[in-house]
Amino acid sequence: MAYQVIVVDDQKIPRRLFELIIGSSERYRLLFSLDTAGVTNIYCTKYKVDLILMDVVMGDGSNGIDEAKRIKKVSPETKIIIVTSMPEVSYIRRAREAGVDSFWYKEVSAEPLLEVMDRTMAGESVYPDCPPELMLGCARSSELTEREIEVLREMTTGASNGEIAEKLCVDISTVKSHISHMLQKTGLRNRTELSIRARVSGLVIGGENIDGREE
Amino acid sequence: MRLVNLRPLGDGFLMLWAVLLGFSGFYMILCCIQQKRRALRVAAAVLPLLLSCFLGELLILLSRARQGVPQYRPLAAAIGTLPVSGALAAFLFLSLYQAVSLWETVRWQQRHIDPASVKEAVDILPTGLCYYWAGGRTKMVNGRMEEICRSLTGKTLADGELFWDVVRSRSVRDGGRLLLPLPDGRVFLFARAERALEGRRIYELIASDVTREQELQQKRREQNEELEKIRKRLRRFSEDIGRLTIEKETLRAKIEIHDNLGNILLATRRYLLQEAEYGEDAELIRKLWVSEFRLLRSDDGGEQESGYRSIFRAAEDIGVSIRCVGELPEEPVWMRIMRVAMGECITNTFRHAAGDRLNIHVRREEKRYLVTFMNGGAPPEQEIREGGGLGNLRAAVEAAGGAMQVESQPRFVLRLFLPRDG
Repeated sequence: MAYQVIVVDDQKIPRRLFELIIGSSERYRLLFSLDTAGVTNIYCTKYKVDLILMDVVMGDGSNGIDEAKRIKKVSPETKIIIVTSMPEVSYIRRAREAGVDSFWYKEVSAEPLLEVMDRTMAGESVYPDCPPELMLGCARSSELTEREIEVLREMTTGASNGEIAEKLCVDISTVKSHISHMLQKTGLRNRTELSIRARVSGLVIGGENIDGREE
Repeated sequence: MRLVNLRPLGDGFLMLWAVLLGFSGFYMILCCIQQKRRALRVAAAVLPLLLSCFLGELLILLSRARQGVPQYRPLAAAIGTLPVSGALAAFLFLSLYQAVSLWETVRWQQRHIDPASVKEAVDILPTGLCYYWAGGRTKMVNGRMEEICRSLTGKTLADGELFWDVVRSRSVRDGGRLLLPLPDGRVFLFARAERALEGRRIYELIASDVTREQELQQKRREQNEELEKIRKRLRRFSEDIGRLTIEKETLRAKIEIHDNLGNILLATRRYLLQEAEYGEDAELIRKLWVSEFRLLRSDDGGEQESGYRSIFRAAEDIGVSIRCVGELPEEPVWMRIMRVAMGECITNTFRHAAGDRLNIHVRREEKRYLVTFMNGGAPPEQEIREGGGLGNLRAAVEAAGGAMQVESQPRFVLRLFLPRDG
């Protein structure tokens, strides 16, 4: 019997590609194709869903990883694969913490999606070792520390040093120090350029989703 | 040698010496009076004067006796027997005494602070100082304050109270501070305090030059404004980049479709030219074309379903109908919260109440929306405890400035109060 799959992606073309991949295999049957993560758990209420392919960032502000966490609470047996093209460094960690079964980068993953789906349904957890490495100025993304990434993420929202310090519960001098280190590592001229480059590359995606509080 | 044997030249020299000692004694007395020295010091200054006068008088007596004036002869005879060395010793002693006194007087003047030295010091301060009695009569005005007054009024500072009124009328208040800009661009910070002096009320006016501080503050204000503009642009950029990223992803997908199309065309051409070694069969190529057409048909530029359509469709898909009375909020922040609330209610309706209907009533008041959710199906068996879903919803509503109310009996009712400016 084929596994019942829900595809969740706010963009029609990638969603269609996933539908075709599912359609090309007898092991899977498309149950629903949704354009927002916010309603996925509603379907899990009624239907037996074996597998969900879910994007992270949705146009309506909903977040695939947060929705995955909610779904896992009510349907722990449902397998979830996060699929994304964003190299945001925190996604892998957050996906693991949310209980997501597997993680697949749309463009750079060596394994085809069908293979990842098969391995996931077989009980394996397929995760990349690390996010794709990007260049930020002269520095590789892997050269930035976790705290620097957190500060950088908040900077891309246009937050001031004081707001960043309050959000991350650190001293304002610590924030300035992190920014200074990042500028030294990347060789970029100022924080604005650093924020823009980080955002354009997709290394960090600032802002919080409305549902993302502790359950 | 005796004084009586002294020649006129020697006599004249001693007389001159006595006169000089007298003048120096007189000068010392004046200095002591001016410096307001103690009485003992003044007396010490008078003594050499008296002695020098006495010595001079003796010399005059001798001179008169030599000239043959008879009444001076007995006295001259007595004085004339004194040795010249004795007279010289007396003169030397007096000279030394005067020299030491003069040195002490100068030293005292250099080290002692008197009103003149205070005024001299105060005049060179960069801060303006003015002390005036109640009523306005000035006690002390230093050079800087005088300069400020002339710059403001064109006159010298004669009335402290009037000057203070002028300062207050032309100053700018910055918090509790009075800042007075002068025509030449300098800025002074004025402060007045009441003191007591000689049992009377006296006012102290202090003017500090804060020109540099004001320039730096203005520069900082301008930089902060520029920074705020950059931050706003960055926020907008962050929103735009999300859309751009989506478009980039769509473009990549389209490129992939395009590449697929190219490959399928090549495969079809080879098949048609019957290049058997290539290996495709008709069925495979047909399937590839079918897939590709499906993809091409889906690329109709359609956008994500906006607003509430996806949530209504999801409810319908699981068999829950939504009946909505009133217009749902359109503000983005409330739309997101409404979708969460609707999702929570739809799930609870199906899972807990085994219902198939959700009623939403929206009342649009002047300053807020009042949204009421009621579901069909079985009522709650016990008081509802706000767990993950409702708890998250409440946190989100309250963080956005709204309020939430949950009733369990006699049936489940969820109310949201959403400010209309949110």
